[in-house]
Amino acid sequence: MQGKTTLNHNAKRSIIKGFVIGILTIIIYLLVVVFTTPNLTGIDAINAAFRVNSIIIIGLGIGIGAQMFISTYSKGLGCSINNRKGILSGGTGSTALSSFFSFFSLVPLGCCGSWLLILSFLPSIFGSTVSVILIEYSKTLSYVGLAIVFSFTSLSAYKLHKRLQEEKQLSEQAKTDSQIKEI
Amino acid sequence: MNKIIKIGIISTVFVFLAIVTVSMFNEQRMNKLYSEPTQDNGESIVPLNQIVSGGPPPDGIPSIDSPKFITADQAEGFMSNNDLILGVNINGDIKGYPLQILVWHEIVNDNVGGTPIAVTYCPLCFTNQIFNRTVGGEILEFGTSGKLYNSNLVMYDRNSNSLWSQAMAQSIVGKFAGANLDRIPFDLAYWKDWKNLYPNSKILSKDTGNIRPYGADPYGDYYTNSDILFPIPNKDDRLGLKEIIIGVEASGDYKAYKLKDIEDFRVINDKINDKSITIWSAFPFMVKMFNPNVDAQTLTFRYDDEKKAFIDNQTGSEWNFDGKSINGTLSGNTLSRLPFDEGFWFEWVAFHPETDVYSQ
Repeated sequence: MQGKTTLNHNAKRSIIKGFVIGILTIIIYLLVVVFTTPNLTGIDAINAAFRVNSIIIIGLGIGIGAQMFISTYSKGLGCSINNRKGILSGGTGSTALSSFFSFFSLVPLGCCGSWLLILSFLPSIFGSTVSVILIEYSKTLSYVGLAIVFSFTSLSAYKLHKRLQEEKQLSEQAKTDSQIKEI
Repeated sequence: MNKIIKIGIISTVFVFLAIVTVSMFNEQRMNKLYSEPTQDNGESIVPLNQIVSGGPPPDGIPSIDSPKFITADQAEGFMSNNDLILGVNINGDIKGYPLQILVWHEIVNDNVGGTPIAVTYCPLCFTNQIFNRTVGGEILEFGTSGKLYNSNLVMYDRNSNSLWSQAMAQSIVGKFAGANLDRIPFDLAYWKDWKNLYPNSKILSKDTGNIRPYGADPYGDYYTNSDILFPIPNKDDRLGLKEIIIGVEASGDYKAYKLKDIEDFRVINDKINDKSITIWSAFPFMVKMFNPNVDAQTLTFRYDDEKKAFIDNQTGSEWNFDGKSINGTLSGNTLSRLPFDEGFWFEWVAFHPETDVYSQ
């Protein structure tokens, strides 16, 4: 059994939480697709969603899952990464935006569909000119949203890494100090 | 790690179960939709379970009922050369309906040259159709029902709530079930060609009474990519799914002509069920079909590149693209235009699986 790497409780808990949240993100996305595409069977709607937006769907699952893992892990360490809440909410906001824009590409799933109706309301909120831009560049915007999710995740990962290194340095320093004391 | 693997397996099973449950729920919801008579008297000429909801309620996608028009010069402000426009000429009253506006409304209830018409567009099937709104002496007003039949637009009339299939030009459910709409010949053209041919035409204004992001096409590259995201009935490999075809019906026989063939040949003289037709193209997308019978003789035509005119092989008379003889022994005669269907192949063959395909 020697050499086998075991994960501590905090790491296990964080992985599980990250995994579940990642899966939940994907499920929620797919549920939205299924409910807004009643002209297709659920399986057909999900197939279509994956054919059109597989990168976004999987990417969001991984991004949000990783963010949750980092957040839970750092919380378990008893350390608070600065602006952890901000990072999480920023990531969630980007996820929502990325999902929203990626849903635009579901319009061709059915004539007179739900997403055509939803897009119809955009000018009332953003004005016609901005709405035209949002629709024309929806695919790009959904990828930008995904990139923001990963940016927040990377930022959190970097901060966690930095924090862990600091802790390691502190513990090594403490070890050295105690050795000196012993001498 | 064993625990994580277990959690992974459980999560995967959970996802699968969630998908299956949602699918079943959706199936049930659809079955319920199918089995419920959608209209008061429930009469239908197609299986009700094949009329499915697209999501929005009736009129969720609003038709234009009081259209306003501007001049072609004014329309230059928002039309680009390669924008498509659907045009109609009735008794010299010429009107154009930009697809960039139609894509957000799908139906325009209008009067052209004294005829009440419905201009309809189903983006998913790329089917354009203009109908006479008078049925049995009653003038109907159409709206979008929010339903689809064979992935094609289903309209409803506000007079009786009957459902009408755009592709079939026929009522499929309700009081009018089985009644037909008269198709009116139309032109689909690039704006650059339309404005040169009909500079005095009236163009549908963006002032529709609804605020919409006109100019943005929510269907993106759907028209040009080869992908279809929804299941289609009667899939037929004789042509590409999104090949644009001109579909012609004659006494129960159906024939599809590739738009590209018509554009390449300029003229196709053909017979369907012993009925002679001649199909012309002078500009991209713009196709006109005529009855070639004049003075008890059936004419065949060819296109003369030098004269830029259509010439009949029997008398050598010249004809313009409107089907009017402008030179020769038949000068002054006008061919009568015939309506046709225009749209993607997958839609035509879904409705007419027994169709022939033209080949020279």
